[in-house]
Amino acid sequence: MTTALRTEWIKVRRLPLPRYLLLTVIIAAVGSAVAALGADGQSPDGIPERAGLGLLVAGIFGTAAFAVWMFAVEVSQGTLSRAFCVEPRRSRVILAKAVLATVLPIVVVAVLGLVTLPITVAAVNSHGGDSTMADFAPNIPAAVVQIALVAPACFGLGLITGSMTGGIVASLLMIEILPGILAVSGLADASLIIALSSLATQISDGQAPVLTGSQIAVSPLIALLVLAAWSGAMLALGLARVRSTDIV
Amino acid sequence: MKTTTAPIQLQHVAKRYRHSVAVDDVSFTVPAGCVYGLVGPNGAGKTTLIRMLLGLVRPSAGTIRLFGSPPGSAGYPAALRRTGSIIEEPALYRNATARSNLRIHRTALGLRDDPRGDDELLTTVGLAEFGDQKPRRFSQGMRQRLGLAVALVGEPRLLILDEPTNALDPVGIAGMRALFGQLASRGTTVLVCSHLLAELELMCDRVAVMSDGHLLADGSLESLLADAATLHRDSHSTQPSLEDAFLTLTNKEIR
Repeated sequence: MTTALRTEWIKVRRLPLPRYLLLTVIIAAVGSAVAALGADGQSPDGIPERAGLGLLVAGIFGTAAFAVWMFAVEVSQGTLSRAFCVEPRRSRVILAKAVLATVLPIVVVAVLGLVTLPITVAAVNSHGGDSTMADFAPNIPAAVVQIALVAPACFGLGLITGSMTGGIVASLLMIEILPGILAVSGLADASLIIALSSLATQISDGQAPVLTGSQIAVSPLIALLVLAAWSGAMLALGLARVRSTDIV
Repeated sequence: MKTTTAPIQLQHVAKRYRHSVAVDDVSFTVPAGCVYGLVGPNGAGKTTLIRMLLGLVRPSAGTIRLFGSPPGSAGYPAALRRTGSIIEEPALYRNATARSNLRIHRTALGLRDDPRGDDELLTTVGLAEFGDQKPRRFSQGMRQRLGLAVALVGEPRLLILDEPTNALDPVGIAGMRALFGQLASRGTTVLVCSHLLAELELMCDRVAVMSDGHLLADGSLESLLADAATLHRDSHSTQPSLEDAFLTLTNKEIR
């Protein structure tokens, strides 16, 4: 398993797409936070959402793309046979990919969350607010939980569809639909659908974001369990598909 | 450690799909240290057979052993790590440099980084000056060479190569033939699938002929040519070639 993890890590470092994704997420996260500093005529209440928008949107998009890419790159380049010729225990290869597809986005989002936190506080205070980092710190674990649940599900969809396009389309459908069904305080704040509606609201009338859409309120624990079951099911289905398929 | 077990053993191997049979009751053994040719027309089942050997396709029937270990057994992963392969198109990360491709494969084999070893491999296949370039910019022949370099990482005891001379120029083909000879002289077993019968005749010790999923013949090159000479004593005034033997066995005529 260690060898499989090292191999996947080398691929992530040596192949270009992860670097581009990382760069995009950094620019979006830091850029949106810095842009909030210079915003005019905003009430301090709307600043945190505005500052965190880049991290939320780019973080989730980036996670989905990266998770799908982890497997789809092997299919598109025809290197899956090479990977399985070296390690015929396919579960090891797939689980190593799943671990990296989940852990790396979590690390990136957590670090960027910490980097943008002081910028967010500075932005709020520069607009007449009175905040400390402790006020916004819970946003980081909320985003991390969301990433931790979304990444394996997207990776599983990549395994099931076996293509970058199919995996991303399926992932976006899932990201859009799931938060609509299960919206929970804290988790929902970090969901893509809320971030997008927030962006639309701010672009249209410059108002603070409003939670929209029909949402069924459930307890955070049940929501977490359902989301974890969903992610686990996608991963298990994808794994079963790859294990049972002839590589031709 | 000297290898005593035959690197490849196939017994009554078959692969059946819902509406077709790709490989049917094929048995042969590839002894250690030889260059073994596998020839057959398109659709003969050669590539499916190779994929079964490498654990990518599950056989419907029969037994496959790689260095004595069947797929799924505890010893099979170790047997695969002693095997280098190219199946049809070489499997390369086109957006990673040639050196990165070698490094990724080296890591997957559980080996340490070896930049000098990578340079030697690139020199062996004639790509010494292209180590920092990406295969997407390579010609097909260069990709084929890099695929061979990847297959040679870790000094495998068995090479399974499907059309390794595909897209190579005559100099490249001659170089590869010499390389296979060197490898075999050091005890490496080479299984080569190719349509270039004249090339196989120059490089192989033993040959198996397949057609429509069946094994038609298997043996030393000399015995195969002798059989062909016997069958066509009247029509051939000279010693028959592998191509004559192939056409005779597969009942094909040159059009």
